[in-house]
Amino acid sequence: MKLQYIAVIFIIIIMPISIVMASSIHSRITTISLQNDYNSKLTEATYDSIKAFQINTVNNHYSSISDSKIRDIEAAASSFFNALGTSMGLSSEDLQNHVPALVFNLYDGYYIYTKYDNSYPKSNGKPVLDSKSAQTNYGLKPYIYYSCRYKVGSNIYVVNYTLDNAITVFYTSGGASHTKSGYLINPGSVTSSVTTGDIRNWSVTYNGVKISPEVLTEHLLFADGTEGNYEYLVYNGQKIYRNSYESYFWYQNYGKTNIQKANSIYNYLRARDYDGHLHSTSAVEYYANAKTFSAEIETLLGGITQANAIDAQENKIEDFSVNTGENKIFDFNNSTNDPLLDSSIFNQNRISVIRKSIETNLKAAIANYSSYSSNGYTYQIPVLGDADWEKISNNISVTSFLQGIPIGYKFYNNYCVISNDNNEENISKDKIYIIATNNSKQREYHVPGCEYLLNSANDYTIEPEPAAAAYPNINFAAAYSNISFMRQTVRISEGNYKYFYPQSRGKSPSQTITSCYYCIVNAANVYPIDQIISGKVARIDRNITSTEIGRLSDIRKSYFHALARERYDLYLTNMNEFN
Amino acid sequence: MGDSLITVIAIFLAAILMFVFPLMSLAERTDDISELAIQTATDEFVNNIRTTGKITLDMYEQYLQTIGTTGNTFEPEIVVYQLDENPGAKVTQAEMTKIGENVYYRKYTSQVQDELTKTGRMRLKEGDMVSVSVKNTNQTIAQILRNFFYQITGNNSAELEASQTAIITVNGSN
Repeated sequence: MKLQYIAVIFIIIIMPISIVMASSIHSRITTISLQNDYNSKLTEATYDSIKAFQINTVNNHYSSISDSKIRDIEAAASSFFNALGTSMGLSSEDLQNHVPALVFNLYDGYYIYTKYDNSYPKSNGKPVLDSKSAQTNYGLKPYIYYSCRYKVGSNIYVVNYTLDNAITVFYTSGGASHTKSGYLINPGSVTSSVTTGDIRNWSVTYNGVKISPEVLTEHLLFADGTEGNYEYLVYNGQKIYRNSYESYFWYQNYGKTNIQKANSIYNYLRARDYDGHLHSTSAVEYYANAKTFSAEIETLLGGITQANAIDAQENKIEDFSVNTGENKIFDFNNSTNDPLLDSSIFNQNRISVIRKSIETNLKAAIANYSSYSSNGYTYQIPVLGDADWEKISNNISVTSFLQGIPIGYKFYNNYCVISNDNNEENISKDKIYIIATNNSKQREYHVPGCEYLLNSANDYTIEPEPAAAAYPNINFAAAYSNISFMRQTVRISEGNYKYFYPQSRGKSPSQTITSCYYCIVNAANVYPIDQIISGKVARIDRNITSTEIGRLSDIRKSYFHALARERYDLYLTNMNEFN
Repeated sequence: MGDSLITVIAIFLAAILMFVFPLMSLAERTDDISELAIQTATDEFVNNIRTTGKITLDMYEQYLQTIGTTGNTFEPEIVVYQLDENPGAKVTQAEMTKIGENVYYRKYTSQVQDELTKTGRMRLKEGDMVSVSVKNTNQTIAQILRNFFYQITGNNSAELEASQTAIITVNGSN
């Protein structure tokens, strides 16, 4: 055979192989590009959803009330479907066939937004859940708490965890049911506590820092265009402002609603209005109550370890994500178990319980969703990574799942977790900002671990009020939660909005407040918050000098006041109802 | 004489057809796959940054390792745009009807790398942007073969390229 023929035969063989291979690779490339594209759309839609939740809660003064919260979550879910639908060119109804679940993690529990069967047909007079019924709804399933059951002897304790150091315990003793709710701290860290008698003398000492009543100030803008700085305190989850001595108001509908003397709150306010200022006692009460509560919990649950955890059928739970072995979860005298620190045994258990609870319920929800679907695709929960669980168990977050969309040679199956710390649901440890005045008399806010604020060689004064120096006996608050530094909107009329910053004192350069360029704009030169809490600051690359952390004690003082106050002032349904 | 010349040309053509074209085709497919791999790795890296609010040394090294497994050498370029809302905050106070203008400060690859090696992480905040682009610095087999026939000159001669940009969705934790 001539060489030319061999070449022709070779080409006849090679060409189709080459064409098929190119086409196959091309289709795989298209699939993966589509997958990346969907990943990015899913992330954006989930972000829109949590952003909607954030905006609604920050501007909704009743956001902590359950009905109002459900409304905010439903709005967040529809933002998700709108955002995803717009970017993918699908309607919300179409998308509901591909979104087996949305999980909204809140402070003490979570909602799962999925398909559920709400019909209970009767069989022999008894209601029976018909899992194959076509009458499914797509919406929020009942709220689930981050709870775990522990069995000691014949006693069963149900502990509801939260995103921070607060817990609620349900148990029966002597035939009666009991509930205890509060914040956990190391009881030994509170050394002296005075919370009776004249409020002037109230104080506690926490980790060597004296906590006393403090004066809180906020800038308000009203619908009529007037504005001003007002002292305030929080009572029952609502801020109450001081107009003048014995005159107080609520900020409602961008105006003042005066509090009458006959109102039961009046005496509470009057007792805290002395020396020309309104004093908040939240921080003092937080530590005093937490000490009492933690001591009670130690007595009640001190011996509990992970081995005591049981499920609803009273079987031992042995597959927690973190195994803390024989370590006692609620024994806070152990130096490694300060509930405020991430590394504590309590915190590791808290994260394990949250993870276990969500995994179990989500698996069930997605499996049910699969049985309600008719498109033949088997919906399954993907494996969530450790980094995702860390986000879920420490912050308010939305987890979205998108599955079963055909993309070339396979089906799309992915999830996205977006957390958020700018909301009024949860005060995380990182959310406290310290106010300081720099050498140009400009007010700035910093994170507690700011390297430049800590260094006493830099010219800063931790002093929020220009007039503070004239009142050495008044404890003006120098730190607030990050919500106080976010822009607030006042709606005058449709299309006419005004804006203000609660921690800005006015319009002049010495009154406005800006974020620190070293720790907030740049967000880099920061020591971890656990180092500030424990008072042991260290750098990875070298030892630090005492000047470099010269302001540590002042910062810790402001930080401990603010963290306690902001947490105590959160409206927590459980705590306010049970205590 | 004429026949011999045709035979030589035929052998030459056959060699090109039988070896060089399949090799080129195969090499180009390999590059397609490599490009896909680096695009996926870049997307994942950027997505990871946007949802965690931080760049850690661990994440960065893993990214370099993943793109390195394609057997090529790369030069990733990272640009971090840090949002500064302070000018907006000041403007809003002075002129209430104006929402304010935000400014972005940029940090480039070497600054990011410096920070990562110094502290092991770079914290970002909600609203910051991160942009990662990567190009190969070696010559792939497809490039060598192609250069044998025709030369591509200029800055944009890289064969494998990937880029991704995203806005950070969360404040990075400590």
